[in-house]
Amino acid sequence: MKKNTTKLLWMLVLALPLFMITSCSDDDTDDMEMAKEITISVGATSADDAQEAFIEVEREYTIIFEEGEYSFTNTLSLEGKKNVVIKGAGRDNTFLDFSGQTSGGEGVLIANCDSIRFENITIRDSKGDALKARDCNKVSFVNVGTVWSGEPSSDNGAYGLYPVLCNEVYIDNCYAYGASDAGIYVGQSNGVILKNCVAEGNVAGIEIENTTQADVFDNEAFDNTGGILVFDLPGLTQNGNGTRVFNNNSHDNNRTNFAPPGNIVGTVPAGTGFMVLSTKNVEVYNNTFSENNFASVLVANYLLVNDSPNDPTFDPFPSGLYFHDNTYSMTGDVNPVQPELILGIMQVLGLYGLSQPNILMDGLLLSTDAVCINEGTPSFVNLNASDPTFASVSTDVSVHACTKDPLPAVDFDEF
Amino acid sequence: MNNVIQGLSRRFTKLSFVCINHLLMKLFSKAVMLLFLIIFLSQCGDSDLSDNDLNNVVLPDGKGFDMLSEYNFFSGDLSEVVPNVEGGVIPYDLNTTLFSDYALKKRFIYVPEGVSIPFDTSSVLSLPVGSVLIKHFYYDLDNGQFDYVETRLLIRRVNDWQPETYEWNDEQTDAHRTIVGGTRSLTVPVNGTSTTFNYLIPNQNQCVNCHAYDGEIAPIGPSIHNLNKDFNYASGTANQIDNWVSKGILEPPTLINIPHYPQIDDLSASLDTRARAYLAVNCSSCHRREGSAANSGLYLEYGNTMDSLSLGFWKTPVAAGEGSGGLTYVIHPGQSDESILLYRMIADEVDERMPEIGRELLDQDGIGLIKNWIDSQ
Repeated sequence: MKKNTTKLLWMLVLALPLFMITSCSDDDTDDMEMAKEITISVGATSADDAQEAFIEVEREYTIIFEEGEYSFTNTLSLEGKKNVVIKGAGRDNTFLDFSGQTSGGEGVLIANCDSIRFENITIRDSKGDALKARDCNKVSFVNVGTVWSGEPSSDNGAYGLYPVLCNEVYIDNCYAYGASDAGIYVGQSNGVILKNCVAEGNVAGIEIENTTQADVFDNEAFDNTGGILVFDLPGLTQNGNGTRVFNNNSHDNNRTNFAPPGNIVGTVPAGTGFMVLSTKNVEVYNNTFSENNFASVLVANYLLVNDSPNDPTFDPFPSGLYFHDNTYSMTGDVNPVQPELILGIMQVLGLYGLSQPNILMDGLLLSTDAVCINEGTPSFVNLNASDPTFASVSTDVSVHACTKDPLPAVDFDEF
Repeated sequence: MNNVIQGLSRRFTKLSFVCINHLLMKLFSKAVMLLFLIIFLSQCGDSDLSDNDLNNVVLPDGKGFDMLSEYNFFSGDLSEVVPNVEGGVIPYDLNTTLFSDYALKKRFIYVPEGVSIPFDTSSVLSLPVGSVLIKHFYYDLDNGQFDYVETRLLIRRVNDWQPETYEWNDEQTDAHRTIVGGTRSLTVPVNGTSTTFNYLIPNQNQCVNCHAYDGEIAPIGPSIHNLNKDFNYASGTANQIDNWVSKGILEPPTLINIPHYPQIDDLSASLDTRARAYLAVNCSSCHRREGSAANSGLYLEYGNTMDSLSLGFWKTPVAAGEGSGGLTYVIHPGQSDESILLYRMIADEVDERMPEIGRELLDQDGIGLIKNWIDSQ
C-alpha cells in the first residue's frame, strides 16, 4: 500500500514540470476545450470590446453580437485574420450604429483576410462606406443590412456592401438602402455570387465593376436611380470580364440621381433597369425589367462620359454582350430631373419623336455583333453617338439579332 | 472570456501545486522541494529579464509588455525620453515627415548587436529581425511643459512586424499598452493659436491600414531618401547615414551620391521635388499598388514619374463618394481649386478628409505646397 502511494507520488512529481509547462504557455491550449466563441453584449464598453475581439480573435472563432444596438465612434476593423465568423442575432435585431462616428473612412472594414463570414447584422449610418472588405479571399456576407436612416441623401456614405480586390465573394440575402453611390458594390474582384438580395433607395442598387466571373441572380432592385449596373472604368488594377445577370427583378428605379457630382455613377439616368458600361462578356437573361422609365437596358461606352480615359490597358468598347429572354414593361413618364448628358440624350430622342425605349445604346461599338439581342420585339434606339449631328439614330434592333454561347456558371465553395 | 480562463487556469495550477506541495512535504527533504521550486520559478519567470543587465534593451517573446518602461529603450527618468544609447537605441529624424495633427515626434531605432541593415535606396529599409522602430508623439505646450500622448513601436519579428502602442499616463511617468487605442481631447498650441481637437490613438488594425505593403505590416518612414540628413547627436552633429554606418547598423552605401528628400520648406529644392516628397510620405503608404488604397488607382510614390494618370492628372475618381467634393479630376492641372487631391486635404468630414486618420486638423504648410504645385502644372 505504501509502495503504491510512493509510486503515485513519484508519478505526480515527474508530471509536475510537464504540468507547469502547460500552465505557463499560451492560453490557446485551454481555449481549445471551450466553445470557440467571443460574445459581445450591449454596454458602455461594447465598442472597445468589439474592436478588441476583432484584433485578438483567432482562427475558427465566432464573434457573436447579441441582440441590440451598438454605437461606434471609429471604424470597426478586422485585419489579417483567417477563418472567422462574425454574426449577430438577425438583420432586424443587431445594429452596429455609426451615427456618432468621428474617425475612420468606413463603418466596418475587413482587410487582408481569408475565409470570413459576416452575417445577421445591420450596419447603420456610417459616415463613409458601410461594410468594406478589401484584399480578401473568400468573404461571405449573409443576411447583412447596410442602411442610412431617413430619405436617401448625397450626405450618405458611398457604398453599402463593398467588397473590393477580393476573390470568391459570396453575398446572399442582404439588404442595402440609401447609399449615395451603390447599395451593393463589388469592385476589382474575381469570382462573385450575389443573390437573393434587395437593394432599395440607392443611386445604383447593385453594381459590379472591373470584376471577372460574377453571377448576379434572384435579386430585387427597386426605387434606385439605376437597378443593376455592370461597369468597367479605366486606371484600375484590373478590367472586368464575364458577368451573368439573370432571374432578377429590377423595377421602378426612377429615383433622381443623388450621387455627389464627380462620381461616374452620377451620370446614370434616373429610370435605368440595367446598364452596362464598357464591360466585356455580359449575359443578361430571364430578368424582369418593369417601370424603369428611362430605359430598361442601357449599353454605353466609357468614351461617352469621358473622351480621354488615358489608360492604354483599358478598352472602352463593350463587347460580348448577350441579352435574351428578358421581360420589359415601361408605362410611366421618365423622371425629368436628369444629369446634363442624359437631358441631351432625351432631347435627341425628342427630335425623332421617339419614346424612351426598352433598350438604348450609344452605338459606340466596334461591330454590331458586339451586342446580341434575342428578345422578341423590344423597343430599341441606337443613338450612334459617333455621329455628332445625331443624324444616324436607328431603331432597327434586327442588326443585333445574333446569339452567343452561354457564359459558364460561377462556381466555388463559399465560406 | 480569455481572462476568466486564464484566471481559472492560474488558480488550478496554484491549487494543484499547493496539494502536491502538501504531499511532498511529508515525503521529501526540503532540498528536493527547493529544487522543484527553482524549476517552477525558472519556467514561469520572465527568462528575458533574468539574464539581462540593466543597460540592455529587452523585448517580449510574444505580445508587447504592459508598460513602455519594461523595454529599457530609455535611460534615466522615462519622462525625459532620453534614448538608451549604450543599449543601442539611436535617435533619428526624417527630411519629410508624415503630418499627424501637428504632433511632434521623436524617433528612435534599435538594431540588435551584430546585424546590420542592407543599404537600399529603392524602398523603405529592410530591418533585421529583432530591430525596433520607436516613435514618440507629443505636443509642446509652449509653457515649458510637454504633453506626451503615445509612443508607438514596430518590432521586427522573424515573419512580420509587430505593432504596439503605449498611451502615456496623466502623470507622464510611464505609458501603458493599448490595443484598441482611443480618442483624447487635446488643447494644444497650433501655429500660435490654442486649438482643441480629438486626437486619435489608432487601434492596432488602424496601424496596419497605413503601414501596409502587400497586405503585410511594414514601416513607412525610414528610407535612405528620408534619412539622408544631419542630426544633432549628443556627441555632435553628423549625417545620419554616416552615423548609422559608423555604428555598424547600416551597411556602407553602394552609391556615391546618396539621394535625399528635400524638407518641404527648403526653397532650394524644386517645387516639384518637394511636392512629390510630401505626397510620397503623406499619401503613398496607402496610395500605391501594394498599399491599402490600391483600389483607387491613384499611386503617389516618389518613383511614379512615368504614368500621369495614376499620379492623378485628369484622373476621374472611382469610389470617392462625397470625397469628390463635386469635382471631376483628382488633379486638374493648373487648377488646384478644381482638384480632388487638394479638396480632400482641406475637407473636414470624416469620410472626405485625407489621410483618413491622424488628420483632424489641417496641414497648412502641406496644403500650401500642394496648391502651388497643382497650380504650377
